[in-house]
Amino acid sequence: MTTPIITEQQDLTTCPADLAANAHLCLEHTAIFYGPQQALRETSLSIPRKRIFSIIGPSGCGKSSLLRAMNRLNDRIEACTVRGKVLLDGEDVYAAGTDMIHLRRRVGMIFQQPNPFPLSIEHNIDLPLREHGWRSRSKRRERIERVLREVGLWDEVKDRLRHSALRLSGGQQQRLCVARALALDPEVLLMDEPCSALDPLSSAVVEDLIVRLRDRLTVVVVTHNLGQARRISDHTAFFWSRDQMGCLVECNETERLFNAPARDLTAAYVNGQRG
Amino acid sequence: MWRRIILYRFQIDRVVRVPLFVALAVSAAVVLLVVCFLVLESADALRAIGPWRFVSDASWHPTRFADTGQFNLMPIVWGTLWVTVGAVLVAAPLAFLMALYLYFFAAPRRARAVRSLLGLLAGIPSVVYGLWGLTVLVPWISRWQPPGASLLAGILILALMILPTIALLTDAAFQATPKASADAAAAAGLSRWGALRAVVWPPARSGVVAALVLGTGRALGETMAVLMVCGNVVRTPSSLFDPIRTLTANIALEMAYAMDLHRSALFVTGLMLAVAVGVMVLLASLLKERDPYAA
Ligand SMILES: Nc1ncnc2c1ncn2[C@@H]1O[C@H](COP(=O)(O)OP(=O)(O)O)[C@@H](O)[C@H]1O
Ligand SMILES: [Mg+2]
Repeated sequence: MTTPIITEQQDLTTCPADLAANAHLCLEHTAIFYGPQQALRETSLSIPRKRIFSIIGPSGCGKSSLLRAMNRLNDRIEACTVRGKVLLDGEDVYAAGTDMIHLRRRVGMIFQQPNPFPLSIEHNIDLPLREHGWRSRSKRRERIERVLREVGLWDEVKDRLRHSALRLSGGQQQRLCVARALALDPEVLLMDEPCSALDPLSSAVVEDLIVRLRDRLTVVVVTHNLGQARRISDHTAFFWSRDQMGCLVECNETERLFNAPARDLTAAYVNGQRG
Repeated sequence: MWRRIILYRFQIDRVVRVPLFVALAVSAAVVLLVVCFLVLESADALRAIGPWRFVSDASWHPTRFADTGQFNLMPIVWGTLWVTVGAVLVAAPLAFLMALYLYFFAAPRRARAVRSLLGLLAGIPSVVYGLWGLTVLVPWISRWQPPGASLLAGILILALMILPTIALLTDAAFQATPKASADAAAAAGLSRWGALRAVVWPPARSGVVAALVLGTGRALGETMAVLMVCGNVVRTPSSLFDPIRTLTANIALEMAYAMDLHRSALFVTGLMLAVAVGVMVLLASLLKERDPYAA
């Protein structure tokens, strides 16, 4: 059997022109290295505004690394360097003098393992708000209630706002993390396998939550669950790893990518034959 | 087959449990024995002189006999208290700042260098600190406010001695911040101060309390260095420049020639030291338990 292999000559950075037109986030020749080891081949990608964009691919193909390049969380890893540009509304987030606190307010992030702060439920949202200059206590209160309602957590926790967030269930913790991110009014929300650590029911709740964010902000979600990518996302990028280096294979509207993939490798992966 | 493995596991469990229990029992027994020994040895003095005279006599001029001696330990207790509290008050904030620097600001290589330096400082024998205090610090204070050998000298030397210990332990508590939490704080755009409040401090808190307890304990129990720089005059200090004598120094200075009731009175001094340590550990456990968000 011939394995579907991408040749060097092929354009790996597929990106339909209609995507680029309404782009919110743009990768231009972005490459990621850990020390001398390249983790992601040069990638160009446009992520449309106020849509849900999913990233799929096998483990180790650089999905998390790519996501963490978009809010510069990679900066925290000493060995990690990012080449190329990551444009947020046309401005390179890697430009010198970027205000990191401002960047991370604009670009929120949700992780695979729910990671609420070891504080009370209320403080989990209150503290970031205060940090970002919300002086008025009553306004913060309002905002806390609003975002907790948005994630459907308010009725579950309104009587125990002062209890530790760590006592919530995994699904509740993840929704609290979403609420914490939403409280800061981000334009982009990065989600790194937000449902993989949750039970099926909580996973469905969080998935519904993501769908409701469509039209409001740009969501980039990494997922191992192909069904989920298919259900919730408008566009999908498929990454693969070759010689321990991640590369973009195909990027398209989700329907097209799943139903009429341009590459054999994509077809094999979405049909469950590879990966 | 499975039964044998399970049985085997069970036996390992038992095999490990026994020596662990023995180790625990031995340490508990040693503590108990030391306290018993102190109580027994001080019983003579407590019976013949009575506990009251140790806090109310005119002065500390112990003799072999109850009626000819003066046994007031309070000036020594105050001296010990002030020098310990002073040293912790000086060292703790500095240590905290150092740990903050190591966690939030220092580049990894610099942080490693600072840590090894602190480890080195923590390992220097106290007599060396005392020697430095005696030959450098005391003359320096004396030029400013004679006689030089004073509460202040004791505070500074002890602070210097416990600083590395508290800093290293506080740093270790900070470093134990889970990576996921640290990522969460960064992703939420928190400043360093915000990250400290949100993710570093809550889990580090009990470790920092432990660091303070250990530092305080070391200051309280330190003998050689304070003996060399504090002047050892038995008087309740009224200023930082007054000489003081600590409980530990009192025992070290007089043990060699003390006899009968005098000797027993020195064991009362030791008993007081043990009580002070006990009170401190109790306070620390209260501090630890008042954790509002304990999961
Ligand atoms: N902190 C790190 N240090 C060194 N290499 C890393 C680090 N994080 C990820 N990598 C490497 O980068 C590659 C991509 O990892 P990652 O982005 O986590 O992939 P994915 O999220 O798709 O599973 C992997 O080969 C991994 O070993
Ligand atoms: Mg990943």
